[in-house]
Amino acid sequence: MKNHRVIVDAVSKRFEDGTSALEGVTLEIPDGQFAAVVGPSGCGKTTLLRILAGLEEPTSGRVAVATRGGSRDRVAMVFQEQSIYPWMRVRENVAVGLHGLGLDRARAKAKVDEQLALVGLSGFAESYPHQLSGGMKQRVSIARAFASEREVLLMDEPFAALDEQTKIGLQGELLRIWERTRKTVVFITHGIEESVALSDCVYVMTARPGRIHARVEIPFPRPRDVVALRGDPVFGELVVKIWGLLREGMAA
Amino acid sequence: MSQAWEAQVRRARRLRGIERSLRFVSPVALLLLWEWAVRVHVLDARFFPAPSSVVAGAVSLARTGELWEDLRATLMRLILGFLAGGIPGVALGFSMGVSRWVRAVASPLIAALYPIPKIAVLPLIILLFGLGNSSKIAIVAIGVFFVMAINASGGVLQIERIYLDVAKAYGLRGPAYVRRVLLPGALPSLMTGVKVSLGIALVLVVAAEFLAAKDGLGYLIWNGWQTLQVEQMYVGLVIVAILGYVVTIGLEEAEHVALPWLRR
Repeated sequence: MKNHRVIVDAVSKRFEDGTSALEGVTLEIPDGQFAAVVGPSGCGKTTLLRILAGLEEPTSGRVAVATRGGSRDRVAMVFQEQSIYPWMRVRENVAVGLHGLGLDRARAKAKVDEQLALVGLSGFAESYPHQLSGGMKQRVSIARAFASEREVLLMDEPFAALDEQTKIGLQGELLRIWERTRKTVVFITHGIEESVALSDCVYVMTARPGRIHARVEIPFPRPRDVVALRGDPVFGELVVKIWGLLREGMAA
Repeated sequence: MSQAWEAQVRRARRLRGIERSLRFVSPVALLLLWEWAVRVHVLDARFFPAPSSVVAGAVSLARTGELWEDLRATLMRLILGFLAGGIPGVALGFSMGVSRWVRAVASPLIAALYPIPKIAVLPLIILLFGLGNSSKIAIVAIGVFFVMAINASGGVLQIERIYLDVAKAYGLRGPAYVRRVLLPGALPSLMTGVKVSLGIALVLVVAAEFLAAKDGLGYLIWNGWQTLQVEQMYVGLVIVAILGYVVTIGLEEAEHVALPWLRR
């Protein structure tokens, strides 16, 4: 086995009502890679991520997240919806990610402060979520995931519910934070531009039942500027190429 | 600009102040109306003694110490019964909320037993627990148990799935999971359960004291009726009403403090 961090081997998922969400999905994501998965809505992308997170079991096939510990407990997830606890202050929400790390009080506090500073929320540590905007809530969610020190980050359309300006701002911030540690990322999105701007490699899925239709390498060097990148002619070509692949996948 | 803003803030504060003071104004207005109606003989003072004479009756009962004795007895039964029923009720409700197996076993039993009027069970309770304090505590506990079990399980079941997923994804389990996710998630529903069940508990304790007690507010009322001391009856009624009022207001204040994320 090469240095593969996330392995999805011939995974299929059929729900109780008989709908088939995934069929024979195989992925191998190397250590430190930022991988994006795009596909038409309802193609089972979220199901794939939930299986990776251990929130659902595959009907057949196998997923493995190779870690030093060797357990799936080593993945952190950023959810699409509002997923921070409304009854916890921002600080406590981020600290949820530290659960099980066995840090003492002082080190846990330092860790939370550090992550809050990284996402620009130092001034909101004691606030409750209902006092924050949608973009700020997603930053808390990202801070929680990075605070967990888990080796693989699973992100399920984390910016889907945000307006365009907030979204591009947060894409830049995500990359800036990610550069520091270069954890392996599986980023689910239906935004083609988003997938090209962020990732090293884009997997294109077909319509339901979801299969991997194609894999596209994204050659841009890092660190990247997600705004300037959009002016690069190669960026446009890649977006058009992925569009074409998606259309093929929907027809197939 | 900032002047307009300050005026707005002042207006909002004033409205909130009025809203809060209305809670005190409306009962007082009712009492004044009552007093007036008795004085002009719209109401018959033999059956509806004026608030002033009820207060006089309360003062004399308080002087002899009888009132405090009865209040203390009722409060003790209320509190012990509430704890004896509430704690196992919440524990069962949480288990039902978390486990579909517990739910499958317990919910038909609750559905069958809950609608039985608790007062109808009182003779059985007296048979089992005797005429002492324990029968009164038991009847309160039974009433509280069902309401708290139903509200706790409903409270857990309506926690949004995403919050449970997050806990699972980050490995929150066991006591930390209960304390940091289930309990606060179910808290609004639990608070409703506490309010409803305290109301029921008050009804039950007073009714039980009618039948089988030598003290307590229920005894005070019943004894007033038996000895035709109408004012004493009213003293008992008013103290029960005040008790209910204080409990409700107290719980609303407690809710405001304990659930800061629901403050709007």
